[in-house]
Amino acid sequence: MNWQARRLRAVFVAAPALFMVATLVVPALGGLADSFDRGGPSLENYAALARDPMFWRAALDNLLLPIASLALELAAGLAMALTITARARRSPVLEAAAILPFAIPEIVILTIARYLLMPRGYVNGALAAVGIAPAAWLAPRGSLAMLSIVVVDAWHVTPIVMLMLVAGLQTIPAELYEAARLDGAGPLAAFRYVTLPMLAPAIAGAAILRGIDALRIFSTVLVLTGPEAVPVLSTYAYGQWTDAQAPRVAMAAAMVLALMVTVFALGGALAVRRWSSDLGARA
Amino acid sequence: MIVTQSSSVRHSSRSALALIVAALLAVCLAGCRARESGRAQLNIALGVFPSEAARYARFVSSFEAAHHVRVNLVAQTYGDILQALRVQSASRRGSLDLVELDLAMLGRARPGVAALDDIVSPSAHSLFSEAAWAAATTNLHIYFIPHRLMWQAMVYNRLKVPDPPRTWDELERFARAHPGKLALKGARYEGAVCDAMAFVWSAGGAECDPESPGSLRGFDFLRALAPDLNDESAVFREMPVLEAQARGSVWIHFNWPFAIGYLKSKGLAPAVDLSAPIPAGPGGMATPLGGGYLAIPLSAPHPALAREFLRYLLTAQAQARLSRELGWYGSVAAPAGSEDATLYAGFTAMRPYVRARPTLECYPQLSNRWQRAIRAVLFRAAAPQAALAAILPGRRALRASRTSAPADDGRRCCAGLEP
Amino acid sequence: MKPGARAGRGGGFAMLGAALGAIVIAAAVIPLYLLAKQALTPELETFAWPPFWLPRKITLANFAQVFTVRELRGAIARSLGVGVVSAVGATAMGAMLAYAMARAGAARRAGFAALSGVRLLPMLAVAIPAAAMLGAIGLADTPDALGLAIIHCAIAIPTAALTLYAAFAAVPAEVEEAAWLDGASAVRVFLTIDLPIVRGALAAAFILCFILSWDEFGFALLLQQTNRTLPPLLYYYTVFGNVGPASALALLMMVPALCVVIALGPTLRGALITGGSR
Repeated sequence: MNWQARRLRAVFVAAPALFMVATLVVPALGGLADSFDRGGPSLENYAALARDPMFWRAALDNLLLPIASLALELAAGLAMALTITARARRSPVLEAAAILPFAIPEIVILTIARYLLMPRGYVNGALAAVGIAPAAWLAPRGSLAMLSIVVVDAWHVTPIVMLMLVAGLQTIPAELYEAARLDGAGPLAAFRYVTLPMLAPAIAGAAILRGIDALRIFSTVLVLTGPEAVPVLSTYAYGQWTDAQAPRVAMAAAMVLALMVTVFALGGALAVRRWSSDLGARA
Repeated sequence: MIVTQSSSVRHSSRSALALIVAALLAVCLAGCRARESGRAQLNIALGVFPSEAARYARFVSSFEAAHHVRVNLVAQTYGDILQALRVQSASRRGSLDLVELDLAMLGRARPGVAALDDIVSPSAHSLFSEAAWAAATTNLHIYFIPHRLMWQAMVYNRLKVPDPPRTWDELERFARAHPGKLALKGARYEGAVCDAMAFVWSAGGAECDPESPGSLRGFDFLRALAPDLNDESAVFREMPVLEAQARGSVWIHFNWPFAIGYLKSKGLAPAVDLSAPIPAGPGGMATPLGGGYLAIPLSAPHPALAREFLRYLLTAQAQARLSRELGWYGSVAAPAGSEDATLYAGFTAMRPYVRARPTLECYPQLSNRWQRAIRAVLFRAAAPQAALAAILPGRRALRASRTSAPADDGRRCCAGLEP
Repeated sequence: MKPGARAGRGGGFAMLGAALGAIVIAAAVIPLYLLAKQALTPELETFAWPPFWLPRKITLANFAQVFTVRELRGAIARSLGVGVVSAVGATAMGAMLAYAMARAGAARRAGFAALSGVRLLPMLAVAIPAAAMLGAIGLADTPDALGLAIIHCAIAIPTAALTLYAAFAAVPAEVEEAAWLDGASAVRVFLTIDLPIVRGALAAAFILCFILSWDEFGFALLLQQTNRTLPPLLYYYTVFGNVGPASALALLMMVPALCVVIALGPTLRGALITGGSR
């Protein structure tokens, strides 16, 4: 019986893995090969990237935006998670409202955000109604545009972070809080010495997962400000593919993005491993 | 977190199952309905806005009734339509019968479309200018049918600029007096070339001749305008700059006739905005020809029907209907004295000076290089001579020989530009 | 009793919590209300400045315009088809993977490694070359969007596998052993014993994969230019079209996701945590 079960398990791993490799990894490798190809092996595509000031701007923005977005998501997600778990009664309304931005398709969120942030949109309308001058939220080359992108991106994703942290919060045993209270710790101290350390793995996991996704930001920037105003690596690659009709340069840019994501993921995983072993040593 | 089997889960999984069954039914119904109609189909991809697509659908309804066919319109950007054509060519089968492509893409698209000489009768030929047909012709064969021809003119705010500039000097003075109120479409796309080429041509320059004195003169003028351009010019495309004009943050820019239609629909034209000719340079006036051409992909599923449709379009009545019903400014000029004549006065005045960009297979690469040079001069204070020299390095020989046949010029122009 | 509640929060925190809750609800509800308002009011109202906060005139013209567009009906059918096909495939393969991972340590490690690797690939690094390759073999921009369905299936497998992993792991070993002792083959055990036990998670996985495909934008944008699914079509309407029809289309796109969120509530929460990903 064992060998039959083992064979079945092997097939059950091999078939999906092969499928994923064939549909995802093979094209990615093909793209990698193509990025070094210009009628023959060459680094010309990458050289074209290096010569382009917009590529460097895209690379920089691709680091700044995800970091800002991640910070915002973690802070907001943590706040919302604490709010939800702190209630004595569960509020389905609150929970549904919290999950809603995730349930809605991203393109719909971006459509709404565009209408909110247009020069004559609702946000400026609300500001004008209370007497504040309207601002150009999506104006290209402005830092306001980057702020708008960060906020919209975080808005869409915060529910997931919140859910991850809620799960983490619910694993913290109540006895720890009891013990802290008996030791005379106030709510702030309890948060600092009980909640945060116990939540650290969940926060780290959320940070890495959402960080990887944040690095791949594409549709938010494309829909809100177009391919050029706040360039990131993915929209830069897209622009090379459609407007400039230069597919190989586009693949080179996409490979740079893939490298960035891999470095971040591996670095993050290593950091978490070292950090949790530190925690384990301390505990 | 463990997903446990509670009764609520079972209940909701049942309702989810119901949703799935309903969805499958919907899919089947949608598929069945399409097949039931039994009519022949014609699939057309047009580079129009969704609202224009709705009006175009009404325009084709008479063709549908007369030929008992169903016309399916797809509204997309020209770039995506070109991509769809390339995919269809590569796999040698596809769903598109007719594609509309931008003039700048014709050279690239030619290998994938059928020759259409038999459709163009002399009466059809007279509907459009020679420049328009020249862009559609390669090696003496016609591959594209002009569909929606347009050219650029100056769109200006008549309240702020009661006397629009007519020459380069006046334009430069305007820019200096009102910094930030003149805008160019300077994003990284073909539109930047359209705006800049008008100046290069009216100084005597040409795309394949970037180091000629005319090109240098044109770029010197762009350099002079650069400090006073609207900040957003670096990312402006047709729609954003038009919206800026509508808001009043830009007083002069260059755009296609649809801009007037847009401003009219907002009530801004002719009350606030009007069109005027592009200011004349040392070599006269010039404006780029642009717009959509229709072509039949080689692997079209219904080529005979597609040719019927093109024949239908190439009649004076159809062209007049397009002008009237879609509000396209096109081959049939508006009657003098009408409101449209006033609105489109600038475009009408530019009609004799329309010039097509070269229909070369390497045009995207050539255009990319010009875009880089234009943006360097406009936004990074580069020296015009150096920027122009970088476009086609090592081509001094081209300047000497201007008497060769167009085909030779094309090959020489493209030589060395990577595919 | 929620552990967090025992953190000894005072009245100040309670007020802060209430304020935060109000903000969360407002941030979810107000934008949706504005979208609905735009979809149900005529164009001219939408361009008024200062903007109207309450609708003055309700009209169904925007929805009518959206439904008369032939391309839209095709897009809805296409999105549904791609969603169902890719969800079926992803759920099936995810179930296979999750079952193996839940039963054997080596498979578990290999499985997690493979799934994490897939999650790492940026969409564009795969989409651009995939579009080129699928185009060459005739699977790009097809009316049935089969190429897109295949890709969606592949990217949904991690979601399905992670959703089902916990469910398979929770199946008691005795049930399986009893079946083995009765002489059933391994495949039989999987099909007749395990699958029925986890059918709740199967449904959840199917629905998550369907929503993933329904919402997916990047691959759809690059693969289907003229035979579009709903997300790229909405993108075109938003950037190039009028506000009313675009808003109506956006509301239409939200329907499946909202149905599912309302219907599945608590189960979805759990599933989202284990497998949720953009």
